[in-house]
Amino acid sequence: MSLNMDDTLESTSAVKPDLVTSPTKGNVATPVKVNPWKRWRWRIMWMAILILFPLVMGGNKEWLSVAVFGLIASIGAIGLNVLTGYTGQASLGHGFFLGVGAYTAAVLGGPVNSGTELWGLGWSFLLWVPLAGLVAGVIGFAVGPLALRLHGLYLALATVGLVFIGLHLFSNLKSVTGGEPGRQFPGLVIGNADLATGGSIGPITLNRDQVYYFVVALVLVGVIVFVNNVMKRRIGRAFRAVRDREIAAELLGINLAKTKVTAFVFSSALTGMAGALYGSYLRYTEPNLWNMTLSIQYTAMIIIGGMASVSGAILGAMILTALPQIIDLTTGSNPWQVNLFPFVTNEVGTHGLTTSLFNQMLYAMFLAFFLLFEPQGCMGLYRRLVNKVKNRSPGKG
Amino acid sequence: MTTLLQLLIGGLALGAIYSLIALGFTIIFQAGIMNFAQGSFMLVGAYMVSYLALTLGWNFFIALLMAIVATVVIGVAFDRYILTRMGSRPVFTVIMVTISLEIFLKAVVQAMAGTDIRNNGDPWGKSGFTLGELRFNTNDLLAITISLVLLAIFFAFFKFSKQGIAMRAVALDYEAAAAVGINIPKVNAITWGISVGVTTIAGVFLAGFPRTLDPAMGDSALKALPAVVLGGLGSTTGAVIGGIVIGLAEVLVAGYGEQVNKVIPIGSGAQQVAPYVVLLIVLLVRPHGLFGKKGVERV
Repeated sequence: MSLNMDDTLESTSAVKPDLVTSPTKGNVATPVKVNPWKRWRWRIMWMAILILFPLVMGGNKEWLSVAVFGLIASIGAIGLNVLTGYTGQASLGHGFFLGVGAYTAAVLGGPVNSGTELWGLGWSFLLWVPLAGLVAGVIGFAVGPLALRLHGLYLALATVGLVFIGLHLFSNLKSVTGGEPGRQFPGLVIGNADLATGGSIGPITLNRDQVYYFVVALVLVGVIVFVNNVMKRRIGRAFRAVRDREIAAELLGINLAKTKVTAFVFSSALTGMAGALYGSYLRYTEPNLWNMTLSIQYTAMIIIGGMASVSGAILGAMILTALPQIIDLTTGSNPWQVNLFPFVTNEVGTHGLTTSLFNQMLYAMFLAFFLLFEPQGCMGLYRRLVNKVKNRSPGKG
Repeated sequence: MTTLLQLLIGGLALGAIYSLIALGFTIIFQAGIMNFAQGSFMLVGAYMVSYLALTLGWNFFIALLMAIVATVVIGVAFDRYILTRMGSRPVFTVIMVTISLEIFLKAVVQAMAGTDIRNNGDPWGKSGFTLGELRFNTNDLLAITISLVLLAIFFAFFKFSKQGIAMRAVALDYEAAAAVGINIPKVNAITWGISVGVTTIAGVFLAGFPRTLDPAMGDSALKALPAVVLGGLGSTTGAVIGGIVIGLAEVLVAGYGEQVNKVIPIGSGAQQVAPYVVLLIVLLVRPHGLFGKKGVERV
């Protein structure tokens, strides 16, 4: 009967969870003994999907690149979730840290003598991915004091300011960013070998997208393990204590300043790594990319996926990245040329409700829907579902 | 000296518009909401006026009135059907809901009007007069005059009318206001109506400034945020003064940017970023702004 008691406990604590301030049920360690095989079963399944997906989808370039962008966005969304979801510090400015990471990568990995004024050191990506994280982390450390002085609304406003100041810097630091016309980002190069053009490992030949997929997936798995472990340790618990009640956390002996700045540094470092990979996979971009819209997208990812949850961040990143592709698919770009939404035009360069505008609308509606009805995002929906199933058949779950 | 005076006129005109936008933010903040969708209301209003007045050839003021009616209806409906459901959710949640409205409205405007830059021609042409070496544009003068008139009307309303007093009561203490019988949903609806109306007027004038209209104009509403913070969140006087300071800062940096650039490298286009530098400095030095009240934190 102990299981039943747990269930009632869980369902009472699941009442009215709120964004940012209230504890998430998923983080509360459940006293139920978890069958280790059960946990590994899921992990092995996800691993298998992760590895098999690009091999099966090898020929389908669109979906493969959606997957790569989704994995990159997952890293950034997990980074933002460390700050907003776990520590409760609002940020509308993570596009800035993505940009910092991308340009660090561009300088460290760029061509040495390009014949232009652009800086480049020509290092391998094994160096520039972690270093992009490091530089973004250092900048996060410099910006961190903002979070010490400011709460909620004021912090959100400050991060808005950060994005615009970032945009100005990006378009003016010409030797780093190439100025308004933009610059090329380095590919995945080690020594003389350019992995990004594709290559073969044993009998398997991989194309560019597949190579990126596996490199990004590797980084993502590392990030997941890292964040999951951090959240189980003292500092991770301090993050959540600060989110739930700042003053109470201070009374418990948590160093508020240190905790908040640490959260900022972790978050911006992870986001910086995502930015480095994003720039590299895009190949080329203008400084205007790292604007408010991008920052808001990342915040939307963790709201739609689930606050304070690694799986939620990944889910949200995947949903928002795949949305344009799904819309393309349902508005005529399918084998049957069927348009399920007749009010959406799929012709390029026309007026009216184009697919990209339809994407914006759907994305706004998703965002509003989850904020209104399920602040815990898709993970909240999932947990509710699991609870329902468990309650229906007690003793089996 | 002439350059300086000319810049000051331009700065005042732009500042007057920012004051109106900042006032829009501040009024809604009285209802406890930071509305990031103000920019999209400006867009909807400006596009409606542009369409009605230029394409259909209506009288400018009737077109303006129609635009205000349309945006106020959207704003009040949004408050009634979506925001009231938010209850006492954290600030950031409410901000994100208004951002989703912003994205949605922007998409609607682009779907209906296209994404190309629309030539606005502005209703007064390039009319204006010259006094000595100074040039006065009708649009600038009108922006300043209408802003002043609107501000006077608003302050009178806010200070003396029953609804204005009710608004202040709700802003001061939500529960006490409800306890003395103030109809809070009604007051909130009025607050939204006024705020959105003011913002729409600001948007129409802003569209007359570069004399073109494109969807990116919605972002300039965000430039009023530094004005709001500088004046102090929730302070209407602060919003006006903050708006003028930000407008002057932007125009002066634009005018003297090249000379400054020779001494300190601030880069090109620094006028776009000047307001945000002010924002960060104010937030670090004096987060409650010039006229805002220092919040007392309850445990």
